[in-house]
Amino acid sequence: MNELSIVMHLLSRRINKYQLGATKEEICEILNISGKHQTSLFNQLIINLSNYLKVLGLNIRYNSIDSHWYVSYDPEISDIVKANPFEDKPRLAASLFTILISCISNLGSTNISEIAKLRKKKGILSDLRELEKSGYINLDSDSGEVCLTPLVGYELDINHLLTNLALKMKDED
Amino acid sequence: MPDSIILPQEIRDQLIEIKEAILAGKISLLKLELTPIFQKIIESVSPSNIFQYSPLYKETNDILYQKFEELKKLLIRMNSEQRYIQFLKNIPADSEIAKLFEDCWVKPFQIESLSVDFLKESKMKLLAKHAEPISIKELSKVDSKEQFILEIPKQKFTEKMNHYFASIKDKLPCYLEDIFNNETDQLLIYEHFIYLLHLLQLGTIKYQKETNTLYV
Repeated sequence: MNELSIVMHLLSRRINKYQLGATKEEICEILNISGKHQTSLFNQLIINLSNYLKVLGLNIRYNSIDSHWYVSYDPEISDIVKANPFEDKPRLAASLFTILISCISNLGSTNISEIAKLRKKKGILSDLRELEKSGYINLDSDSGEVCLTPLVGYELDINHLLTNLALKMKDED
Repeated sequence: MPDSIILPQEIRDQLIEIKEAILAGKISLLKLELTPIFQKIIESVSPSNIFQYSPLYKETNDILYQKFEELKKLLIRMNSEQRYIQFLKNIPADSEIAKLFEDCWVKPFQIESLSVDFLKESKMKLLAKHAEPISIKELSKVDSKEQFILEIPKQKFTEKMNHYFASIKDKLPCYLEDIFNNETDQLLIYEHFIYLLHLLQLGTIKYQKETNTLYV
């Protein structure tokens, strides 16, 4: 057993329904990495492990929603491993997208009425319940508040999605 | 050439300092001035030390690339929130929105069965001193003219049991332990005890528990 095998374990574990991997602080504490060069040593560790994993079709990623590092399959093989959970459910993808945009515009959370207003579709509540069941959102039935869970940050490259949107809008302008 | 000689290690230290400051959130990539570093590299590089400067140049370029990426993100996000909302207000089709998700899904990789405890245990097993394995040797065949015949008792069980009964009959009645008083061979005691059990089962001999007595 060496440092890389411990980091591999930490980055490939599921913590709970919404979280995976480990934070930099957790990794440094377990491996007893501290002091002036903590960040450099940590980065080196991640880079080394990443180089080993690359040939296996795996990547190390960072979820900025909850500051966790984790391991994912290489995007090039995402089709093989069926990464898209809404393969035949564009309606759910559209609802999740609406929640995401609404959360970005409202500093992190939104509500059912706002989503319904933007979506202009019937049965939005059942979409929200299904997304909640999948673990992507938290839904407060009493207050109507809707917020994204960290799981979205693990399974969705939000920057890439927003870039796709920006490019689409640019093409339409 | 500059007045003071700049060593590659100085530039390397500066790059490490910059990287750490960026990761710690102390400085923003967009505010970082990279021109002085490139200038230092240009001023101090020479044919004799070009191999030392090559990785430094690459590292500085990596930071520059990250800076471009940050700038790209900033441009995308500038004033974009309201534009995103506007996009939704135009009521795009679900399939149109779903298409935006193409190449955006990430499949996390998990190994739930692997734990630190398991790894520690594996390590201990690997480090543990292994005892010499038992070697299995092939026995050498020896030619022998002797004949090995399975030994079988000369008398049948019932005969032996009756013979035993005849030998103790005169002692009865007596205490159970008195039956074995003069016997020292454990195998023989065991054999006689078996006969006794059978004799009790057949009713040839009786046993009174209260007095621990055998009688006919």
